[in-house]
Amino acid sequence: MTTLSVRNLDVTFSSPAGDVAAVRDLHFSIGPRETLGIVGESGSGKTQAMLAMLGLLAANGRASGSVRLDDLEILNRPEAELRRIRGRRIGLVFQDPMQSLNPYLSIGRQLELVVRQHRRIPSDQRHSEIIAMLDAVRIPAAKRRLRAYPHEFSGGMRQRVLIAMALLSRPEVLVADEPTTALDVTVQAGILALLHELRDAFGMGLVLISHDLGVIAGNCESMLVMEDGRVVESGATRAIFEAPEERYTRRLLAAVPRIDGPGRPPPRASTQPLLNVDQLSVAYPLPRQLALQRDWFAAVREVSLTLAAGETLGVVGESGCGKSSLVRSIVGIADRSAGEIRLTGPDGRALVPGRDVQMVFQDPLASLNPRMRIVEIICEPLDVHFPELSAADRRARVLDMLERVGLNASMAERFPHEFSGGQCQRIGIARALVTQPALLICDEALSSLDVSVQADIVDLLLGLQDDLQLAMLFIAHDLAVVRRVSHRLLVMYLGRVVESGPADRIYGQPAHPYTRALLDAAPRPDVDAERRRRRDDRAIDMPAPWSPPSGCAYRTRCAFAEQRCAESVPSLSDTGTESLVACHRWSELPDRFSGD
Amino acid sequence: MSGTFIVPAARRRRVYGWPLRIAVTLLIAMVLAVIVGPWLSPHSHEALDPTRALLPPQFANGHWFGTDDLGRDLFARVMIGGRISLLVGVVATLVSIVIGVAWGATAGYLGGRVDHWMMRFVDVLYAVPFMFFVILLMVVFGRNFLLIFVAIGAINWLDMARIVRGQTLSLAERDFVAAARVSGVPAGAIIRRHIVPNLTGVVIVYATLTVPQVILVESFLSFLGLGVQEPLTSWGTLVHQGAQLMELAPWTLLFPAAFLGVTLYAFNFLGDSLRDTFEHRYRR
Repeated sequence: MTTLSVRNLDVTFSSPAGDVAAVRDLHFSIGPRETLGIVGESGSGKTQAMLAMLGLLAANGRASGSVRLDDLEILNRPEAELRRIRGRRIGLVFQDPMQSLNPYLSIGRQLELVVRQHRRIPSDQRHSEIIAMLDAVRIPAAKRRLRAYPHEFSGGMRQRVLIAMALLSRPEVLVADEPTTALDVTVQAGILALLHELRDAFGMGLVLISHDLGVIAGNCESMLVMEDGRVVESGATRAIFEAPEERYTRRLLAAVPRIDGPGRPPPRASTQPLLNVDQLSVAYPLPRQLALQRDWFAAVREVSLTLAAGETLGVVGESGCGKSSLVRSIVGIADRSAGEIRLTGPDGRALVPGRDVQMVFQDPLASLNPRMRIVEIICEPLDVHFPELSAADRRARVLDMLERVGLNASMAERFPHEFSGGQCQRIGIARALVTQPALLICDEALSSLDVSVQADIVDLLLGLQDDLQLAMLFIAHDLAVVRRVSHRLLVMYLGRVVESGPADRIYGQPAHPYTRALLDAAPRPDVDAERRRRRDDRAIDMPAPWSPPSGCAYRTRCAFAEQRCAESVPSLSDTGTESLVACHRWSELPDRFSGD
Repeated sequence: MSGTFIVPAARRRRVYGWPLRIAVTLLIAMVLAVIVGPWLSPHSHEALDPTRALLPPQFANGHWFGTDDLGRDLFARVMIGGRISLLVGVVATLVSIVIGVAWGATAGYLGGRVDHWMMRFVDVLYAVPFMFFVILLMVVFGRNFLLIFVAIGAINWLDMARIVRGQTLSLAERDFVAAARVSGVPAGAIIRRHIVPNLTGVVIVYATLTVPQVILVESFLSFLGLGVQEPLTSWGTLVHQGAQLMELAPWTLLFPAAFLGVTLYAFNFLGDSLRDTFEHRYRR
């Protein structure tokens, strides 16, 4: 059987500033039915190493060393030969399934092109093989979906199509580069389970590249930890997780937020709610079809919440659940269609969005205008809300804020592109806090940062919250991060709140089946916990948010759904433990871990 | 990851380094030439001398580029023509940038109904025949050199507005615009501080394509007798006249055509290089 072995792989990029080493002295080998995890933070060279192996480096990149597929040396082979090896003997799955599929060709056509490229077989046989492969990746009603185009699939389904595409030529090794990073946790679990199962079914070796130690823990027998192009530690996954030898590995493991970690102590008692949202609905017009009547898509439906000074409310849910629309409506950049948002300061005056309510965004670099200097960026809210301050006063406040978020005042005249992602996020936080707001909204503010940076930013935010008695609305899809920062939690599904209450209670005893599913699907950096996980490779699709199912929106995915769930929308009812849950059957559900 | 940004930077610097320098040098030389040139020549651009018609280029008699069919010195005329062509090109392009960027960015950022009606207005103007529009202007205001700028600029801003609007639509979705909206920055200031500066790349490229286009439109207008009036001239006019004398006196075509061609080439290269510089200076 085939083994892929890499020896002394070096990757160097030439740049005007001299040569840059991206990968240095990489060694590994992988046999059939083995999974090797490669973990590292952005810039650690894990992706470049894979591209080099396959001869896909950018024009200014050079690779040296040896990459063997059994006895065949494939490194630096001529392009024509490599093209026969890539796809046929080594399959590839990339991170972003939308960008990897051609939007103008149907799925069936794209799969067919792959088969035709690699194997000469009659067209009816081709057809049946494609359908068999789509069945193998658990795409429901495969035959009918052949004519569908990529945009008609959900993110998880597209990733399944890509996996099918990579497997059609029966590769001996499959390289998956961050295959689930762009997906929701519930979908991620399914894709990882599928990869594992297909690996065994097809007898492949699997190389899984990820920044997420939880993903590695559950799926890989052996792993490499990379930093700055070097392997700092390698070996059996269990050994590394249980007794990491290198300092970098230990630091990385320590930085990963734990979903089973400690929650936050309750905030200093504050009775008066600062933010009071009552029955808020947000709706967007859908593109007009033939009908004269305009259809509306309700992104948020009758959501109520309160938040007091010094307190953090975490809002979680999969993409499309309406959490972003909710906060955008609170800060006043999305229209609300019904309901009320009351913002009251401690002294009873109404709070002004922009001055008293501020926001930190997901993509740190994209949220800073590339043409403005840092000082101008941070100063902008001051310019709007404190025009009475002199320019010198404003500048002094900006510089003071820069220091508070852990940056140097001497950086004020630079442009955003001169900073790293973590620094950019600090700048975003400085901009949000410069007007001394009472309420800070973090919209996935940590999602695009590396774990070690993430931990620093969390510490910064929590420190600032305590100092300034900030009320914080914290949106994230990563439940482990939410656990570290939140006092209370709000779980949303298709625009509605399905469960809310104290964070400790919800993490300890989730009442709603959806909350349970979310918690169960979140990967943990713990080998035993991950190995115990029941592998469920079914493709579960969220219904389209603009046409939710009748009754309880979650019933199509719920294992406990019954007749009445389709008939009436469950209202939020008190569970008697300070929390609310919207489920008809919450009190009848079996204990969470009894199924295992 | 690292490779993706190292590559373009490196490649650009290597390929665009010297053409940019050549383009800038050529343009500076051209501007200096048309400013100083007419004073250097011993002959005037408007003095007619039928006895000296169609003389080939010669250094001794001071007709360095030869003469045209009316005996006027071609060197002086090319220099004077360059003044007009460059001026029309640059000024009309500036006019179209100012109107087009303001219009397109406003429509694109405000969106909805405002966008709809502003762009329908642009569509209506597109439908107005250009010649009809120019003749109308001439009739109403009389023949006027300034009017050429206005007429050409007034037509060209339509393209600019459409391009800018498209770019603005995607910029308006970016997080830094959302951040400004969260901070309560008024729409006008968002357009001025956040949208327009980020349009620079696209505007510069389009502007450098507009300059040569305007120079050609001007020569067309002059040919119809609606543009520059004799004895004043422009490169377009000179090329047109030269083309008719091509077989008899090839130099009457070659010299103005060379100047026009070199200038257009330099503008195009300048545009490409500037775009790369602007786009990459602010990116990692």
